[in-house]
Amino acid sequence: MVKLNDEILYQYMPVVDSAILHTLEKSTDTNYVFSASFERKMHRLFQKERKIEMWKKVKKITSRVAIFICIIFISFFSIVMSVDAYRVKFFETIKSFVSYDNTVLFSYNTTSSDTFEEKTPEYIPDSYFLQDTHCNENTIIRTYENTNGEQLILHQQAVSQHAQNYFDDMYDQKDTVSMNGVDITIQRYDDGSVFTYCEFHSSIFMINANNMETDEIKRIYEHWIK
Amino acid sequence: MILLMMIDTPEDKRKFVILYEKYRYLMFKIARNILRDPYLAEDAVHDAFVHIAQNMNKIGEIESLYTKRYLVTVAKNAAIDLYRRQNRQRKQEMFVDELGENQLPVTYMHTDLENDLLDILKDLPPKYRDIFLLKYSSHMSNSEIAQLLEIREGTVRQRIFRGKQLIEDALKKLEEI
Repeated sequence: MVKLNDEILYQYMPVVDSAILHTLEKSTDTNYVFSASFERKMHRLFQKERKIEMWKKVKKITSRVAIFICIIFISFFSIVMSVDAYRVKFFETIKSFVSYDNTVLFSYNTTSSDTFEEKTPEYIPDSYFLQDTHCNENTIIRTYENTNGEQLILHQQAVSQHAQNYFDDMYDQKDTVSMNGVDITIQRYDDGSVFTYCEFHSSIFMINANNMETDEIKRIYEHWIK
Repeated sequence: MILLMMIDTPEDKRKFVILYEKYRYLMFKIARNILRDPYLAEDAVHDAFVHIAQNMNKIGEIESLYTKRYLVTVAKNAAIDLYRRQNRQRKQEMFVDELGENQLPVTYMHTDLENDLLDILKDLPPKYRDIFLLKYSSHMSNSEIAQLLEIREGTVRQRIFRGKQLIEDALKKLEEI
């Protein structure tokens, strides 16, 4: 009789697999007529699938291009910018922001030696699925997308020495909401998109979304920063 | 953007559509057996293809055993997820002998391998058999299996261990006969 080991399983399971799949395929009804709404949804998905692949490639390139453009941008406008240096004590960190034209630059100088403590979001709205994760020693960016193609990006960044963030001030509406004693800044834009910013312990937590209600934003933060 | 569009070969662009044309009926059958409703089954098939769209890098040859097993597994998962949502059983893991695969009369390809052992493997309970198929036929790692089935890696290891025990018990019973 056969003695069971992994080698036997690697030999036998493909035969079983092939037999099962063959039987399934033989008994499949290929005359079924899919509904018009299903065909429409699939047609949209064909287009989205191509965009997903393109977007992955574009993100890699544009992240580098964006940094390069920002450097050029700041250098070009440094002579005309109005400097509103505003120093805020943020635990052991001095945060300054400089606004010029439509850009706000946050700079952080910290004496904190805290190591980056990654916080995993424990609540994501229904229908969103994780599409991509990018991380290094000071940053983790999680990108989610729903079936409508709307994106939700959760970005945690450690406040480290000389860290910088560039934001725009072209929002239509800006609010600050409080959640468990933590202030969350919410900026909404005329295209429905939203950007949020929050400082907690030694990290900055930011959300970029195509479309999100304030309650949902607060719920995400409630289950993210603890 | 034009340059980026040219990076994709025509083969890569069409692969997703070819997968859909080739396997939609099979995936629909799997989903319908679980959900019993053709419209819900269509939703599950759509959800499955959304997942596949995100993971096209995992798809090799369109006709390969790996690809078929992967698509079948994704379709089954999508149907189970939808069934769970419909029945508000979010936190429960579901095991449905939805395909009645154990009852399906299968014909093994011409092989010298012992049919008794093949039957034992085929008749494993779905929660073990699916993992064995993914590991020993599709050559997936435990972490890939865990991610695909949305279970913990430790659970994958436990089921492999338990599945092997079930197989050895069945082999011993055969020897006694």
